[in-house]
Amino acid sequence: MTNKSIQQSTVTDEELIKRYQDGDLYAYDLIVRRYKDQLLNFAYRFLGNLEESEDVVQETFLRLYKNRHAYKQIAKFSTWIYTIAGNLAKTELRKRKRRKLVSISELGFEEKEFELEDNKADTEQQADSQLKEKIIQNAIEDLPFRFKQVIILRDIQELSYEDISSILRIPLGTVKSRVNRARQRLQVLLKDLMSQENRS
Amino acid sequence: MADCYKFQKLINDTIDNEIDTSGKKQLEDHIKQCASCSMQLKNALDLQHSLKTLPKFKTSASFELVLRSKLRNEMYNKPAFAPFGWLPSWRPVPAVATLGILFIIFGYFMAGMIHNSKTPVITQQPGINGANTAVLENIPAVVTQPVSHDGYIKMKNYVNIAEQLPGNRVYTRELSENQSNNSRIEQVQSDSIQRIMPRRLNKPLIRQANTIVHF
Repeated sequence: MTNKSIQQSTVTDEELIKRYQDGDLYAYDLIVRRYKDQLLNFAYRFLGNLEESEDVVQETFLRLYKNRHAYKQIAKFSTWIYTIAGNLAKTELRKRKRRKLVSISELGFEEKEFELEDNKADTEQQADSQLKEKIIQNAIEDLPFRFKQVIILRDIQELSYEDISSILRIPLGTVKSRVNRARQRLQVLLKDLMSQENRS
Repeated sequence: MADCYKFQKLINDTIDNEIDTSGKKQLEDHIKQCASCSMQLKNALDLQHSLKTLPKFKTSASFELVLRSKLRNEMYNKPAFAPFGWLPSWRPVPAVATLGILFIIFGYFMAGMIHNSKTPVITQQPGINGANTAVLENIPAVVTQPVSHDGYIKMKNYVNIAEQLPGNRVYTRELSENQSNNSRIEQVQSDSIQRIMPRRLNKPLIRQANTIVHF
C-alpha cells in the first residue's frame, strides 16, 4: 500500500496501527492526525483546560509511540487509545486535586490559541453559546468521576455502549444504567439552564 | 404517576435511538397523559442535544511540532527538561562499553593491590604452657576448623594450616575431609605459603584476616 492510498479514510485504525507496528512511521502520523482533535475534546471535558488537555493528548501519543506493541489486534484501536487518554486525564485530575491550583482557564487566560471547529456564528450568539458551554462544562466537572466518564464517552464523544464497556472494562448493563443515572444527575445540575431555555 | 418508573427506560431508549415501534407507541400514549414524563423526555432530549453540540476544539497549530520535538527527545533518550543540557547526552551502548572497560581496569588494579598490599606475616609468640604458637597476619583467607572431641577435623573443605615447628620453620599442611590432623598429606616449606595464599578458596568455612593457630 502506498502512502497516498493509506491517507484515505477507508483505511481502518487497526490497519494503520498494524503498519506502525511494522515500522511505518507515516502510519503513526496518520493516527495522530486522525485522533488528536477527538482526544483533545475528550480530555478537555474532564479537565476544563485546553493546555492541560493538549498535554494529555501529547502524552497519549508519546505512549503510543513507545508502546506500539502493547496494542493487540483483539481490541478496537479507538477503545485502546481512549483508555490511555482517559487514564492520563484521571491522573491529571488527581494531581490537580493535590496541587489545589486554580486553573488558568478559570482566570480567563490561555497562552496558546485554540481554534473552534465551526466558528460561523455572530458575536451575540457566540457569547450565548460560550456561556451555555461554560455552564454545561461546570456541571460535567461537578459530576462524580464515574458519571463524568460515561457522559463524556456516550453523549459527547458519541461512542457505542460496547466501546464504553470495553474502555472502562465494566459490563454493558452497568454502562447503560450508569449512563442513565449520569443523565439524570446532569439534568438536576442543569435544571436552571433547562427551564430558562424552555421559557425562551 | 406510579407507572412512570417503567417509562424511564423507554425515555432512555429514545435518547439512545434504540426504541422499537411498540415502545415508541407506548411512550407516546403515556406522555399524552403525563406532564411529568413529557417534561422529562423533553429535558433529556434538550440536554442530549446540548451535549452533542458543545463546541469542538482543535489542537493548537504547534501541536504536531511539539509532539515531534518530544518524540525526538524520546528517541535519543533525553529528558525534555535537562538541567545539564550542555553535557553530551549519553548513548546506552557506548556507555555500557565504557563502564565495562573501566570495570576490567579497576578489577585488575584492585586484584594487584589486594595481592601486594597484604603480605602474609608469620611471627612467633610464646604460647600457652610453652606450646608453639604461630601468629599469621594479613593472610587473606586462612581457613580453620575447630578440632572435634575425638581429635578429628571434620570438614567438607580443604584447609590450610600453618604450623610452626622447632627451629623457626613453618610448614603448612593440607587436611582434607574427615582426615585426622595427624595425617599429613602434604608438607611444604614455609616459602611455599605464598603459593597457597593467593589460591582461591571456593568453599571457605571461616574467613579471617588474622588468625592464631595453636598446636
